[in-house]
Amino acid sequence: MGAVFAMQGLGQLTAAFVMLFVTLGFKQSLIMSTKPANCTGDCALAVDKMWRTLIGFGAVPGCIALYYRLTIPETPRYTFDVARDVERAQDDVKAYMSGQHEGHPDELARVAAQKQALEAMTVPKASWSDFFRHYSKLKNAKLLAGTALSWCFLDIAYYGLSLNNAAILNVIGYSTAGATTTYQYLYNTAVGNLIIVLAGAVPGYWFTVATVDTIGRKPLQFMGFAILTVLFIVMGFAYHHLSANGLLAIYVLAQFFFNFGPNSTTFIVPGECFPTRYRSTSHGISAASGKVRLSSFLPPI
Amino acid sequence: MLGIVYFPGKGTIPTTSDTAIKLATSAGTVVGQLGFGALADIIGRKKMYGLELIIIIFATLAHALSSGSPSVNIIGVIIFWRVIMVSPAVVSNATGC
Repeated sequence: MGAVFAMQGLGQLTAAFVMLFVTLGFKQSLIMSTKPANCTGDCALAVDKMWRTLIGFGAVPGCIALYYRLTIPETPRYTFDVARDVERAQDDVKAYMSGQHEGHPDELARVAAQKQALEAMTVPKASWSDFFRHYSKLKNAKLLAGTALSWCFLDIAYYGLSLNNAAILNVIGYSTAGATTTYQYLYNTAVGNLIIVLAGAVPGYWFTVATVDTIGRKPLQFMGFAILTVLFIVMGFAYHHLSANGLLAIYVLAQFFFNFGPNSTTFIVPGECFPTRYRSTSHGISAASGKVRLSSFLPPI
Repeated sequence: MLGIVYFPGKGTIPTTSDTAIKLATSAGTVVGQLGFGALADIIGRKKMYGLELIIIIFATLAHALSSGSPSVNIIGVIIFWRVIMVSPAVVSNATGC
């Protein structure tokens, strides 16, 4: 599951590269204007093509994923626990264990078992009342509150910063440093983005993948939050004493520990600790609580 | 980049519009995660994956092809498609456009 999440890093990396390449590609048009404010005519035309390419490129990995997702089989747990197709789930498990695509249960036995299971299964069936009964137990409610709140606290900092990568590069003076043309400005932004992703986010994701099972989710999350606190205190109090490159270095470190820590663990834990029949719902609630803070009380910078 | 194209002379999107886009994006994610999360429990993960991706691909292309007109503000069109684009996605992407 950590590996799945690490693909987010790969996506960010691809986006950063596409941004760099379109900037290089339209160099001739961009180099004519001295700063973004007077980028008109040919320059504006080029930038218009650039953002459309950047956004449109997002559909490419989507199409690749669609092919694979349409060909993956349903998880056996879902088949067993929710769809109640006992025979099919059992055969699927056997098939996965031996490396095959999916099981081919005997249809007659399958229907018979399904009917029998309907009468005999003691696993509670998913329903609103069962959902509320499940979460009215203090133990279960605390679990949901824990995953939702930690995700919420993380996202305040994480999305507040990450949605504004370009703005931050601008504020700390990285993208404007020595930029005498719109081209240089956009080039610096693209390269800065690439540095942040390549040095911070991507290794962070893969460190998580490598250590999440040995160090454990809780220590990893705790360590990440602790280091981030220190980094942001340093960044905040020493802001005026640090150069643009120094600030960028701390920012890259912060990105690294976001991903080698809370950003990954808050995603992994809700995917593991809830009962199958409410797993997606609970994961959705946890993830959404992170974004709620943006919409409700804290606008992004 | 949107600022350079649509706000010539300034080079940046006005703060209010910029915040509106980002807030709407987050709001879309909230609604999407709650809705699609619950739906995945009801009708199955595999079906939802496929549906989510089809929505994302469609909205992404629409977003890339959208533009303003005398009666429709470009910011409005972008917010509209972006909300649809991110609503099925658990993880929204941050490129700083």
